[in-house]
Amino acid sequence: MKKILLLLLLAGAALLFGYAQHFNLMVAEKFQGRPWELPARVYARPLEIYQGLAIAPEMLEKELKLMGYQKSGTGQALSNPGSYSRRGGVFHLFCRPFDFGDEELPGRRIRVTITNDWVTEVRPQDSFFDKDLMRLDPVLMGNFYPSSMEDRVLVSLEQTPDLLGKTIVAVEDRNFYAHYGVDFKGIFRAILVNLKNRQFSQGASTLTQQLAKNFFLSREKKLIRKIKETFMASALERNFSKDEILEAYMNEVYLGQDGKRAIHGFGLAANFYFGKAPASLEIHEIALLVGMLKGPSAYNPRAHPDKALLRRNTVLAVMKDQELISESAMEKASRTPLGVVAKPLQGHNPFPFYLDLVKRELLKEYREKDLKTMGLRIFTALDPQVQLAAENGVAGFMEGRNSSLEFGIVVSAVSTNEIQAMVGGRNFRYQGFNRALDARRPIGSLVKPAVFLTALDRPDQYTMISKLSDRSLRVTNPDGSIWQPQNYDKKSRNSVPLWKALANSLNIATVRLGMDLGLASVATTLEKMGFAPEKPLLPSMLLGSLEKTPVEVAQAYHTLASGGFYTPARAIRAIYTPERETLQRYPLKIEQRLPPGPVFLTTKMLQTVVTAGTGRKLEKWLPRDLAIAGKTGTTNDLRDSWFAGFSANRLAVVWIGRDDNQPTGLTGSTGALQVFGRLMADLSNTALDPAAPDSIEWGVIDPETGRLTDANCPGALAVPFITGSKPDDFAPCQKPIKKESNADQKKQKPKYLIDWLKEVF
Amino acid sequence: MKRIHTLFSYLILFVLLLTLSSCADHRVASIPTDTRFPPEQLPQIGTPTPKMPDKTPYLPKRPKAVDTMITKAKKELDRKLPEAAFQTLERALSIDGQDPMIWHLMAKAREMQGEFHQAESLARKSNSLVRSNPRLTKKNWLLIADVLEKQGYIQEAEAARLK
Repeated sequence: MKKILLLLLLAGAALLFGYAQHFNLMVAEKFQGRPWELPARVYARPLEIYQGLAIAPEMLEKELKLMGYQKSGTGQALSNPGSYSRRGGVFHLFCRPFDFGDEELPGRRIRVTITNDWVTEVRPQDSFFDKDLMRLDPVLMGNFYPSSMEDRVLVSLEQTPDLLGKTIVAVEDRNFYAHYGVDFKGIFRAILVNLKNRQFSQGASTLTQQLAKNFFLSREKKLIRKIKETFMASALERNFSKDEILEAYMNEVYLGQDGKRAIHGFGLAANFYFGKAPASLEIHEIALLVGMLKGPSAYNPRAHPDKALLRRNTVLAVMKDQELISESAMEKASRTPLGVVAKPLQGHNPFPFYLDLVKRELLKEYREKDLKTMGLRIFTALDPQVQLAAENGVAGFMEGRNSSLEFGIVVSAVSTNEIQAMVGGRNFRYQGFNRALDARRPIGSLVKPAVFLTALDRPDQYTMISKLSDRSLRVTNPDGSIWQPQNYDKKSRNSVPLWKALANSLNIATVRLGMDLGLASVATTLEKMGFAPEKPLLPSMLLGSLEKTPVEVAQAYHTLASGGFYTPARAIRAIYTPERETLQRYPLKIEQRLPPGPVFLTTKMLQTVVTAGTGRKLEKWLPRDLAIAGKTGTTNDLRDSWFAGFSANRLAVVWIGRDDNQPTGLTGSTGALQVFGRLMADLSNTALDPAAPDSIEWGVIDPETGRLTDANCPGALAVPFITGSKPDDFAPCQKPIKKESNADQKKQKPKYLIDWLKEVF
Repeated sequence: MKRIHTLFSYLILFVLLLTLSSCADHRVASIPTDTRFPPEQLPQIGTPTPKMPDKTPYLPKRPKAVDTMITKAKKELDRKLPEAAFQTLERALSIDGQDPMIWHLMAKAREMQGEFHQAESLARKSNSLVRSNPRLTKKNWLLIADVLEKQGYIQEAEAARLK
């Protein structure tokens, strides 16, 4: 009998040991890899602040708000990273520390002075920092959350104030440093209290048990779970130090809900409730957060401020009792208001269309699960100011209009072809159908520059002043059908100079020119620009029957804007792992695809579109001196309204249409152009004045004869040519040259082509 | 007396020239010999050389920030850190994408990394932005010649070197 008992006891001990070992392994395994699934953070471009930067004070403040910076009164000294004050154009910033990937910057104070919308001074408080290399931490423009929707920002114990850990221990588990995971004294005490009160209000879970429960255990029947929890807690204690357990607890705990997103850990909670890093938490803030552990929804300071305040003050009293704070500190903290900030934007994705673009780029190379759990840091080219300008452009245009219109907008940097902003629909905050990426529509006259560029690449046949016929014609399609293109004004002309045919977007002249050049040649140009038309090539392609998305149009126009250099459009700059390693960079790549001379001539003509052609209405928003180059596009029955244009530094493509493809009643000029004008007017643009390539020479031309003439002949015009294609024949000026004093001449000299045209015709 | 006389004859000469010049109203003006630049007094197709908006308080030739970044990139190139230099230069491009020096240094960084095709394209891009800096143009052509030669295009390299 004794033997059997001994055997049973031994077997029981072995089973128990095995069971405990099982948990031991589980715990070790969990902590070996990444214990938490961490969302990916997607950042906008960091704002470079330097002397000479064009920025309105309001725009800087808008960006600071998007960055989650808290505004302080002007008189107060800034005490926390992530805060600012403003008086007129003078900003004081306390920048957050940030790891940019190529450089890690600590928190620092700087003063920025803006005068007349220009940054006139940047002064760091600490001369250690180079005032010419100041960039602010970027706007967090999106997150990819794990399927659990748990969001957290990991912190180490050193990154939190001592008081936080001590308060957690004082409130949640006083014997934390004495027990081995399970607090038997505590359990006994709880039983007594519960018996006395005849209800089960008091629990006795240690911090370790809470952690074990959150980490490993699902909702099971209470007793089994409790047993497992006990084993797990002991395993945790065996494998890890008290500090490690406390740190894990701080990162694990649930501290509130933000829509679908669950706020976990003190790192994120400090930001979510107080807009700061945990290191800067003050006594009353610590008390509030620790108090919330008891019931994050019940004591949510935004939803139930009164309850939260009571709970906070209870915690403050405990802190005083445990001698963590003095009585006077407790009293002072108890009188302090909750101090909770407005819900920060960062948890949400304020620019869902751009985030969609980023995600699609990422999914080409990464698994979705990895994106959502590995804690990647993704740096993008999104410029929040450009994005807001694009959205305002749409909002301004939509005032008092038909609500069924939809939009697709892409704005990019001319130098790098980085996409700075994207609007995929009228409703910017809700990501539905992303028209900037997916609305494939006929591009109409946006195709024309490719036809004219093809012509100008044959300088022996065509120059900007060559005469084109605009007489009506019938074209036979490959299937034998007949196509008779018409001009928008339903008129036809005998002959027009080539530049004017593009400026006024004449359909017949363009088709005639394109048919002479050959569809294949035009298609080759289009391919070099960035998109090839689908085969078989049809003559209607010359008027833009080919269907493209706004982002594809932007790619093609970028090749023109950059002087013939093709650069693939990019949204992502670099990706870093949470361990600060570079996972991937997306560097700038360029390739010369189009000859610089003809691109220069085409750009000049696209400038005349805006000064004297179908893009004239832009002058309502943009100064003529910016010399924007652009092109309108309108499709049959006014179904699509397009505008593509660029300054020296920025390119934008706007599409307006309807999802059901019904007529919009808008031409390129009455629709998309007006959004383009509004958005570009909100941004700093550099005047477009491309340097003439080596292959260009200038001639003085009498536009009436198309021949060279005298520089002082009235109406003479400076025209660029590919070297060797300038007309040879010189026609002496036939018109009397007016006697004018120099001053008069200066006054009357037409500055723009349109003025000159008015004089001549 | 003699001096006054001389002055007087100069005056007559001046008036005579002035009178004669007025007869030249219908004279054929000479065609400008240097056709690389547009005649200044004429309207152009497109627009004349544009000006910045008037509210610009000042417009330094190159923002100091770009200057600092260029200096930083040059140091990184000297220390044989082409990737770091390239990243610094990309940062500079976001401030001023039209500065040919930035593109030239990017070409240098890529050449150092053995990315000859990119180096050539970047040098060509730099040249497309140069207005009046023959030294930089020459440097770009020499760089293009170097990378062409390294790829075995001897004749093309020679032609580039002569530009």
